[in-house]
Amino acid sequence: MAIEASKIELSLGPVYFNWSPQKLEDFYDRIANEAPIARVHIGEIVCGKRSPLNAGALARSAERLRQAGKTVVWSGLIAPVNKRERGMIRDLIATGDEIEVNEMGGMIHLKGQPFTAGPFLNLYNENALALMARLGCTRWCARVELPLNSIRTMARALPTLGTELFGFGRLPLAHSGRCYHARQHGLTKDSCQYVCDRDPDGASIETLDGEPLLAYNGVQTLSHSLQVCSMNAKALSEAGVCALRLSPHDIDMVAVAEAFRDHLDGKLDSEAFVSRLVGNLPGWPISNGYLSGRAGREWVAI
Amino acid sequence: MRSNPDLVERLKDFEGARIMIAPRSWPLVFLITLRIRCGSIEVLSAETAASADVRVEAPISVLWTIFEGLEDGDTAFFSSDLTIEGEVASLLALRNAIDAAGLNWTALVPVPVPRTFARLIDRLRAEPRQARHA
Amino acid sequence: MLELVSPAGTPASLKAAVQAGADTVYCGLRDETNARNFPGLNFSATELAEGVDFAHRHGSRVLLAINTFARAGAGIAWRSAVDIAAQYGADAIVVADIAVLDYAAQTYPEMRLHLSVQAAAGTPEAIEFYASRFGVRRVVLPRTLSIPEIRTLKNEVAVEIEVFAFGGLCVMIEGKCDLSSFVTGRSPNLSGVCSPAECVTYSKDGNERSARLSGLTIQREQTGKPVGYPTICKGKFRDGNSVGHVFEDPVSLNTVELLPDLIDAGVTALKIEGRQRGKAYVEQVTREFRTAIDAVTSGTGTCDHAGLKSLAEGHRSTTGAFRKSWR
Repeated sequence: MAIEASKIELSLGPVYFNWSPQKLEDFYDRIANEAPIARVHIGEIVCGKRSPLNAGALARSAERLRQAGKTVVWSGLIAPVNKRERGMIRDLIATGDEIEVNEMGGMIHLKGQPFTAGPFLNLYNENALALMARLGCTRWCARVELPLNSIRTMARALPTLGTELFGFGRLPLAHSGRCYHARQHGLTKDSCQYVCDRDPDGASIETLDGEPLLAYNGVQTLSHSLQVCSMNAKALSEAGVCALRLSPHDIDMVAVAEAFRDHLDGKLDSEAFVSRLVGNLPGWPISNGYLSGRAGREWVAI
Repeated sequence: MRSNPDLVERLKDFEGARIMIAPRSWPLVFLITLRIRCGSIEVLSAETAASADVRVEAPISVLWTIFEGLEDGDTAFFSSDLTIEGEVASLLALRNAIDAAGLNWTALVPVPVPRTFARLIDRLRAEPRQARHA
Repeated sequence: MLELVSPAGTPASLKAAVQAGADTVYCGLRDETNARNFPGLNFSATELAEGVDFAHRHGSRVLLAINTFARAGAGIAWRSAVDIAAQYGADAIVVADIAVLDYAAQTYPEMRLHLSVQAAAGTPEAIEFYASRFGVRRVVLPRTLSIPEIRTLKNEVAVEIEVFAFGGLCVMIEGKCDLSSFVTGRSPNLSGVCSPAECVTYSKDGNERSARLSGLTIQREQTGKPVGYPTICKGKFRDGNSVGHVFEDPVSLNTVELLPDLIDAGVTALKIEGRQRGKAYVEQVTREFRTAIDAVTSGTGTCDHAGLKSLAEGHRSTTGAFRKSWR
């Protein structure tokens, strides 16, 4: 069933970065009041060490977003490393709120209630997705390295599931047991002094030829380039996609969401949409190679 | 390669690949061309302009240990005894194919080994391997 | 007793491993169903059958690695890999994809299932999910846990624990790493290759030599300095005004001095990494670890293992995440 073209939703992914509680609240305040975004994923998913610092701000933000009519989804940690962190997803599930699972351990706390399968689970084919659906999954966000053809095959095999595509932001490429912010500051993860708070979009690194390639964000490694999905609403719905996920950065995310909304509503064609977006992000390269089954860092005309 | 079907199966994607083996500070090099029907090994001068997809350079003693299957190329490569230039895929395929067939590279040399060359081989074999890595 | 699990990239390596004292060997078919889909490597179905027969005649076991994630709409290759394992009597299969696990558990309820490191199951809850839903009997732990954490985990799960003991060290959690596909378009999770040979070129500029991956220079060293594989996680990058190995130096994992602690933590099996290495590597590492394990279990103390050093990337080794300070 092709989703009615104009109904392609915009959703917001969880903040990957170590923003201060105040910065988080101000950010979500603007999203709640101004952004044409229907669904907001919220929660610390990169490093559990940050959660005692930002839990309060995230809870208050969630309430404000609900009052503004947004659907709020709590996202779980990508790789919990101790008893406290492993308990976080269990407690989130117990609240009865909408949940996004990013680590298979979260599955044992679910008793059939609906959940979203996050892009960090290894769901690469229709049979794996069907199994998750049998366990209560009602929505999934595709792994970033999945080509569009695979996403189409999977979405078509499970038409009742909501299919989200990573539409904007630095690509989350890898996760480690080691913290790279700590390592680059001569520290270790256990004594990290939260230095990842210095880089609100991650710290970029260049190849030996001076070309920016990646960015590290604590235990997470991201692309330097911003993924931009410039497919129009018709192409997205033909591929079975019902929503584009925008990943938050320390930029005017409301303007980004408005550009995407205008493009999806047909007010902007793809070229105009891309140049408007790139216009407010001077010097920040964009890529979309994964969607065409190519290297993620490439830009391929779609 | 005709004589060994397993080699053919493992190398069929590298038909025509040209691999140059250059013993360090030797006056000559070996150019291996992979072909299903009649692959060839040419002995050329070190200054040859002949092109290759990949060129491997290492002291003859290192090459010999690898040829005899006593060391896998990666070890020599890590210690940088062995340097590579060009695309490594065909070299890797050849190493894996020879390894798989339980051969060693000397089986590749169809000609009877000249006496002087044989003496060199014996001397290389006698050289303790660990000493070389110290 | 600690089980020694050695890699077999080719039939010759399988024989070498078994004869050098491996209790178990693991191998893959010559296609994208396993994570070492390298040129000229791996086994045909008949070679697997011969390998299983050889190993069993020498009292060793064979595991078939089916540890990539089945491509959407093309799961048949992974299902037939499971069928081949069953047909030719592999002692267990090492799997990461829940779809492949589900197929194996439904179709061959007797087949022993091991969970690959590519499944990234590093918590008791994740392991419980795989054990209760698919009957997984053993888990290869992601490289994120220290030895005390492994000891704690062992008491909370009912499956055997296998850990990597020597060889290539992934610093990113396997199964959650898309660095290779970002640069080269080829993914270890999908087509079983990380920084594939087809995308690697080496060059010499003066007395420096460089390695490029899909055209990006990720290694440049003075000739003569030890190097490692040209993977992004071991690459050199510019971070601000400093240049260095941001993620990890070119090193290999070596836990030979930690054997007593690993046994004490309840580890069942030690896995040697390196199906892409040659037969000589497999033989030497298997022999060194066989000697070390026997020495530790019989209490005759450990012996010097200098030989292992030369096999390591960059001629240096590390105990990785087994010691917390690595993080």
